[in-house]
Amino acid sequence: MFLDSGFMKTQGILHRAMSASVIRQEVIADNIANADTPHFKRRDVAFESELNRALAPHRTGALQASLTHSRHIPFYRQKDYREVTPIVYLDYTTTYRNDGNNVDIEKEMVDARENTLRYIAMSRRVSDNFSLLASVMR
Amino acid sequence: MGIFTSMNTASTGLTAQRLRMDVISNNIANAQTTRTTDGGAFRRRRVVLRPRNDELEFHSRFLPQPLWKGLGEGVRAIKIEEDRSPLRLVYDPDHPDAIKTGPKKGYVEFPNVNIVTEMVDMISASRAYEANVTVIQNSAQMFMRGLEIGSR
Amino acid sequence: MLTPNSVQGDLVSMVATNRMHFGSSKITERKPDEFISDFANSLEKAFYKVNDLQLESDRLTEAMAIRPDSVDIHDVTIAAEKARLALQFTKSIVERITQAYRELSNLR
Repeated sequence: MFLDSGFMKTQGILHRAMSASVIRQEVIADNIANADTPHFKRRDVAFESELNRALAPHRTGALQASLTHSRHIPFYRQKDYREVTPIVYLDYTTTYRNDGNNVDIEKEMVDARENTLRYIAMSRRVSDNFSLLASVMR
Repeated sequence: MGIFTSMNTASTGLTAQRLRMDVISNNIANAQTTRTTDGGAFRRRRVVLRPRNDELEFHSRFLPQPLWKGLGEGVRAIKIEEDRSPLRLVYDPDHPDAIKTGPKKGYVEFPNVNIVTEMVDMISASRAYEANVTVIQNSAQMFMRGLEIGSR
Repeated sequence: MLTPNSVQGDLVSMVATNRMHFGSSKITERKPDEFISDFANSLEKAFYKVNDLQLESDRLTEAMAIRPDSVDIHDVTIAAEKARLALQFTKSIVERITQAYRELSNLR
């Protein structure tokens, strides 16, 4: 029905980004709770940059491989944006305190606030889009 | 997973920081206690914290944690241990707890509590407590806004 | 004419049945019964879709009640809103169809 349309594609992207925000909130909460635990390394979530790459139009300048066998892998394969999932990764590259912990509490608090505000903004957009659809049908 | 897991994680942080505060205030209160029921002077205590799902970890400064992809569940205090660093010695032969014999005759052993260190720890614990409270407030706000999606 | 497969999101492909129809150069012969059955199939698929959305919304709502840690709140509200809109959409389409039918049958 209307679910495959371009209008609903925006809703789908917003929905996925909201789910990723919930995961990021959990990871930030874990970082803050373990802010004084020795040898704890902070973790982060990668999603928006992956989604951006998947949604970008096909790279025309990409080097094309000539595939002569059915089992050859192409150099560049356009990724469907629906395959992008949030990935939780460990950040062990930043400097740390003497007890091995690398959580910066102020940065985590600011990240939590930013994450919350983005979630609120996305939920507002989703809600307004739905009410737009509803108003069309009356 | 829901929004409640982040609230549960933050609540484990609150518990751990409050425990730290209790231990720190006990240290400060007993900073001059020269005799305890176990004999000897009071020794500074501290809380040992570990991440909650800890089974796969090995602690080394040079190697990172294993790249386990699950979501963490917060922190827990596994024990409250005594600081084994040496006690402070003050020469006072007339003190009732002065050592009577041996090479340290006439000295009184005072607790190894450094008030400045305890104050810094207390500030860090209360700041971490506030950060956990902020996380819970943010998660609750996210939940309320997610709930409002269909309602206009 | 519309077939069940001719609607892909917001792209609609038409079949030309007369020389004077715009669009594809091939002319395919369709009988009037085929039009009716195509339309009926499209409508039936739409009804099943509406039912699926409703079931999904019910499943998520139950999961929220029984195992709150397994589902996000925005999943529940978005699914509920989709089900509601799909139902409302189908209801107004059916209303228009019956209204059109009544108008056409009252021409005589």
